[in-house]
Amino acid sequence: MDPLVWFQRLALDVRIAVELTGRPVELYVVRLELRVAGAWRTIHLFDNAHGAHDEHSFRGALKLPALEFFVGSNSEAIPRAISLLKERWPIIMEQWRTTA
Amino acid sequence: MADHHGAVEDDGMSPRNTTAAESAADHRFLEIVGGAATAYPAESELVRADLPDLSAVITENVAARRTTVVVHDDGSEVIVDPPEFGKIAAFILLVALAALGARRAQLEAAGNVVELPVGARVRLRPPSGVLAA
Repeated sequence: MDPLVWFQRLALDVRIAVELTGRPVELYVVRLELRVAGAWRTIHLFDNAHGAHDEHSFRGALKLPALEFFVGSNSEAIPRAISLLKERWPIIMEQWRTTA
Repeated sequence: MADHHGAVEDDGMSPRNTTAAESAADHRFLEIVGGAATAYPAESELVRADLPDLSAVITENVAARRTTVVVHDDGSEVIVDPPEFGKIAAFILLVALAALGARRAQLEAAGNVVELPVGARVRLRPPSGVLAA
């Protein structure tokens, strides 16, 4: 089953991408994407690929180890992940730029 | 239910100020992702109406053949759909463009003018949620 993807633009070069597989959702990825040199790059993400609700930071292109950000259902975790990115994206972006 | 972000003040981050349009866009995005709002094509992009670069975002999405949902502070929306066409329609479109001298429709966004290709569609959605063609 192909995932459904939705975007919300936060700034010209910053967006959130939400990728959902299954209805009800079985797998999800919530990504913060930054456009760098014309290409969208993931700089932070939340997913449940390994069964838990995980959060991953990035150092450049390197995806850092997961940190469980939530315990609960997918339908609760997804809006939580989106809200976290909306609250924190300027800081995440700055941290990514200084460590990339 | 628990999460390690429960205490926001522990993160050393104060809440960001959000505009009414941003709040409306946030609300609508959660509805779409949650499956409560289904009137949007997959891969649509929501953008708040007061984003300074709104016209650039619409132009970019039309070029990428992605629907843009512009959300205003009262919850109303302007939905900009890219043209839908296949190979035959693309040929007809090229002929039509040549015939018309590439004359294009325009949409004003955030004080700027967005040029829309032939076949692009703009829909208005009032806060009540009734779609108008």
